[in-house]
Formats: sequence, structure tokens, C-alpha cells
Amino acid sequence: MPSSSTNFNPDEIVRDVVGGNKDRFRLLVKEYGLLVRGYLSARVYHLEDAEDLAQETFVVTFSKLSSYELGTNFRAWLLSIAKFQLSNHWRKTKGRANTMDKFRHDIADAIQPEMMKASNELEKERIAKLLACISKLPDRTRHLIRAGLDGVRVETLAEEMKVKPNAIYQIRHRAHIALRKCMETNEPTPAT
Amino acid sequence: MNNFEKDQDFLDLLSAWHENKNLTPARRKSLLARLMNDPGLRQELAREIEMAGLTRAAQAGEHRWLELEEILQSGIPQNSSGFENSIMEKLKSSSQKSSKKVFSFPQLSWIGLAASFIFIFSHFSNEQQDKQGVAEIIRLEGKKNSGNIKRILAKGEEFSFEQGLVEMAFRESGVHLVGTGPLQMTLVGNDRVFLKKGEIKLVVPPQGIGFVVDTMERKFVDLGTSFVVQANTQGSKVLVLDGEIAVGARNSRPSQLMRKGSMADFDRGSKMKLRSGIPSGVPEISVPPRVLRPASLTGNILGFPKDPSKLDRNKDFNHGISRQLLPLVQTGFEREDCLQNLISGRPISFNGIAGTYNRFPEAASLRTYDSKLGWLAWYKGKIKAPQPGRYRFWGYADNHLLVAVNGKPVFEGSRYDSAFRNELNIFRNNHPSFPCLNARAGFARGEWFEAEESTVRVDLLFGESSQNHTSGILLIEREGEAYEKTYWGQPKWPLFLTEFPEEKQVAELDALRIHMEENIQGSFSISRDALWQVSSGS
Repeated sequence: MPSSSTNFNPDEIVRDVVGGNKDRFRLLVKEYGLLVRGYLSARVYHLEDAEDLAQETFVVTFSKLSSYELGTNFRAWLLSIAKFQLSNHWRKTKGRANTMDKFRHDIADAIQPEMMKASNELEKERIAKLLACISKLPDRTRHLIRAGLDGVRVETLAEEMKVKPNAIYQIRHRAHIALRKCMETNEPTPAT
Repeated sequence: MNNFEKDQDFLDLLSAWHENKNLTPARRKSLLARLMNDPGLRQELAREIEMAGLTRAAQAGEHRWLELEEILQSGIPQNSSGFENSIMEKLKSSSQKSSKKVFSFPQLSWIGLAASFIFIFSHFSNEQQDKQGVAEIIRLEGKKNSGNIKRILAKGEEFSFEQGLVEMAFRESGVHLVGTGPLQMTLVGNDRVFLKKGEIKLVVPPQGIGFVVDTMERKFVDLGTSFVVQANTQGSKVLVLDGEIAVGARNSRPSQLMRKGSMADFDRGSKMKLRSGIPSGVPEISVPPRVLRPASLTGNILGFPKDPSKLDRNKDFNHGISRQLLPLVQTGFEREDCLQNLISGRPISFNGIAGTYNRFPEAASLRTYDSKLGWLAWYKGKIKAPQPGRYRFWGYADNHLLVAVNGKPVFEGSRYDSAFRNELNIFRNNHPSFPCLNARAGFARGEWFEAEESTVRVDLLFGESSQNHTSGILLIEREGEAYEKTYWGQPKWPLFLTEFPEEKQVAELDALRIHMEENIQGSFSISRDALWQVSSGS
């Protein structure tokens, strides 16, 4: 998990790494790892693909670190690399994409600015609170959130929880709103 | 503000995004049109998708950046290539030329000097760190003791001594190293050593994860553990005491994970021989006891004979054990013709399926079977439910697991390559969110079956497709029963048992449960109230 240090200065670390102390790069990975993985997990269907892309993002970031302009926004620069990796991934898989995959790309295009804005809203200090917030969710909701992790199909989940598939999205949506609130305020998540 | 959770467009967009839900072209068009014209919908959808991604990533646990770690630890300056290779080549050639030479501390070989010089020149920016050294000797006992108890070891320095024991700590990573002489190693960096000869034991704290031990044959990357590496002129070996390590070959082949209890040899031909181990990391469980009680559900272990003359080569050899037993399952366990060519061990009693079984066939006296074709234990008998009601099984096995009630299969929890799974078309629902022992596949569950006051006949098949290292777990759920849950919401269903385990087995099962709870966030329970009673054990 990223540290919640508000004094974290990525430029300082970048300077050290470019200066030869590449071990310090791990600090950047630790600080921004979940942000990048979350960004990619939101956009890629298979979690394993997202994890691979996250790793590639940091490998590229490491190799291009000397081209980062100190004093600008490291987080934005890092996410632009993640975005580039994602574009590459989509380009490579385009040939195998079916109609619905293409529809997902259309959705992604339509909401791209909003997704970037939503991603920027998730400040790293807040992300650090996420797991604690999840732990405060009611059992049933937590199970549902957990089920999304391994790609359990909504139909399966709905059958198991004896609800309609739409209800799964509704519960999850409510849970995400509660989590966002919890991360912002550090207050207990309300019952969902 | 719009209440999006009741907005069907919002829900359909989510299902298209998360599940690739099939929508008609007209519906897709209308959704895109709404999306283009409704900033509120765009914002809420974007937030929902971002949050879903973040929760997925957060719950997936800390990612292992193995490829990145390799790059960070390779010792290759960012703008040069082959630095590490050049060191390794020099070390290798040195080893070949002077394999009988005994180095002694503080005598440095030309390799160490070369390594030191190259490191010094290539890591000029770390001068301060080099002055402080990368490791500090805490204790040095034995022959050729330098007398400098607090000796600081620099990056690139070779350390060797003939006999005795050395204890050192790495400054940045906190890695603790205990070496036994004769020892010869090079401190490649603050997170890497090259072991040429001798034995070292490492205890790696969390901040030292990723520490690398190189030998001529392999690269051992620590993933949070304690392990022992030995090296000599013939090869190297590793024993994992705790946690796990990644073993990388000196070529582009992917790393292999080794877990607690695993031991392996590596020869100079780069062959790896796993001498003992528990690849799954799952605690080993004792095989069923020899003692058969009247209350025991009993079974037989089956395998193919080693003598090929006893086999129908065309029919049996290509089939494997699960396919061989398909007719038995397909006939409701009535026709046993398919067992004719098989051999069996001693009768065994059923004491649950839970954990890893590395020597199941041998312990059940199936000693002369052909291990390449696998084995299966077939338990059968009449049993009575603890309470009347509807039940279903949960579980998973590597490789074969099948349960039939009154001749009808009600659960199939085998691995992807089992004939039970691929050829019987038994109802099965996978639940990857419920972690199973050793795969991301997760638990499978079967369909509900009725078990009233009277007994039911049960047939249970559990086994392995080839070799050993079998693992599995079989739990049972009663409809309407409230079970305690894990942190992630998985009910702790009871193990399917027909006898309460003996004290020794309870301890083993406790170890398994703790392993599951600590490592894979799963669990189970053992309950006297959930015991099925055997009325006829065979």
C-alpha cells in the first residue's frame, strides 16, 4: 500500500534514481503502485492483464526517468505512461475484439475526460485508507466487492445472493459511494 | 442529483463494461447517444469504473514486481549493458580454472578485484554508501579470523574464509546472513550476493524482500522468507525454511516459485531436481490410518500396474486413471469392469479431504503402480446426514475429486485437465472469489441433494493424474444453516467427515486452516454436529 506521507516528494526520489541510486525507485513504486494498478484494473477486463501492464508501466517509467521534467507533475507523467501502455494493449488486442469489446472502447472514448478526472480525485492519501474502509462494509457487501476481484460473473453472484443481476450493480454502486465517502472523511461506511 | 442506481442506462453501461453484456446494436447506439449528451451520467459512470478498478487492485494484494525487481537488482547501470553478465562471466571462468583453489580471507581473488574495480567505477555516485559499506560483520569465528569483529564490507568485495562461522547484517535491507566455512562469496550490492562456495542462511525482513543470491546455476530471489543456499563446484542447492523464493535460471526461462519446506538441487547442466517439497505451500496431511473401525467409511486406492504386459497398451496407456474410471461413474458405480486391469492397495478409511498428500499411494500400500498414470482412492458406503435436509459440496482438488449420492454425481471439483471435469458434464459452479488451496480457480460447488432420515449411498473419488503432490479440500453445506464467515465473507463450511478426527489430525487440520486464513484468506471448520454417520462402510 502506498504510504500516506504527505511529505512525499517524487522529484527528490527521481533525482536520486537518475543520479544512480536506483534502489530508491522502489519508493516510487510503493507510493504509486496501487494508483497505477487501480487505473489499469478499471480499464482492463482481466486483473492479470492489468497487473502485467502496471509492471510494464513502471519498467518504462524507470527507463525513461531521465526524461521526466523535474518540477512538473510526476503522477500525471506516470499515468500518461500507463495510458500509453493501455493504448498499446488495446491496439494489440483489437484484432481479437468482438462487438461488445468495441462498445467498451466506445464507452471509454466517450468518458475519457471524466475517467481522468475521477482518477485524479483519488488522491494517494485517500487510497491508503481504502482497505480499512472496505473492512467496515457489511459482510454481504464486502463479499460482493471481493467477488469482483476474481471476475466472478454477475449472474453467478446474483444466483448465489438470490438477487437479480441489476441489484448486484446497485449494491456495488452504493458500496463504492460509501467507500469514496469513507476515504474522504475517514468516517465509518454506512450500511449498504 | 440523479439517482443512477435506478437508471437502467447506467446499469446497462456497467454490465457492458464489466461483463461484456450483449446488447443489441440499437441499444448500444442509444446508450452512446445518452452518454454523449449527459455529463452527469458520464461523471457517475467514470467514478464507478475507477472505484471498481481501485477496489479490485487493492484487494488483489501487494503485487510482486518480479520483472521490475530483476531490472532494479541487475546491477546494470541505466545506460550500460552487460555489466552483470561481465561479472558473472568472470566469476564463472574463474570457477572453471581454479575449482580446487582455496581462498582465504582477507586474500582477494582477481575476480573480486575486478568486480570491485568495476563496481567502484560504475557506481561512482554511491561513494558515500560505499564508504559505509553494504554489510557489517557481527561475528566471525574460526580459522583465518581477521580479528576485525566490526569489519565493514564494501560493495563488490569478495569475502572468504576456510573454516568457521560468520554472521553479518546488510545495512539497508536488514537482511541477516549466517555463513559456514569454507565460504567464498562476493557482495554484489546491498541487496545481492554471489555465492561461489559454502553455505549461507538468510533471514530476510519485509524491507529486504527481493534480496538475491546468485550461484553459478541459479538466481534465488527472496520473496519474504528465510532460506539456505549451498554452493560447490558440482552445483548448488536451496532449502526454503519459511516463506517463498523465486528461482530464476540463467536464461530467459521464467522463474519458478519454491515455498516453505521445498528443497532443490541444481547441477552445472542447469538441471533442477526437487528433492522434497510442498510446491503448493499447503501443509501436508497424514494419509488415512490403517485402523478400520466399524464406523469408518472405507475405500481402496487404485492404480495401473507398472508391468506393461498387464495393460491393454492402446486402451489404458493413453487414458490415465480418471478416464479409466469414467464407465464406473457413468453406470452409477454399478459396473466395475473398468477396474479389471488396475491394482489396489490396502483398504483405507476416509478421514476427510483437506490439504496436501505427498505420499498417499505409498502410505496406502500402493507401491508398484505406474505413477505416471496416476492413482484414485474410491471410498463408498452408506451414510446418514447429521440432520435431514438439503446439502451441497464445496471444494477443489488437484487433480481429481468427485462425489456421487445414490449413484448420481452431485459434485465434481477436479482440476481443468481431469476427465471427470471434461467428459462427464456434471453440474459445477466455480467460485473464484472463494480461494482454494493452490489455484486461482477457487472453490467449485455442486448441486443440492436431499438427505432425509434414511441413509444414502455415497461414492467418493479422489486422486492424482500423475506423480505426487496431490491436494484437495471437500466441504459440505447444509441449506439454511448459518455459518461463521471469514473476513472476506466466505462461510466456514465444515469439512465433510464421517468420523471426528483424532488429536494428531486435528492439529494438522488446524495448521491447514491457519495456513488458509493467513495466506489465501480461506477457511473451514471441523464440527461434531456436521459429522455424517456411517451405517455401512463398503
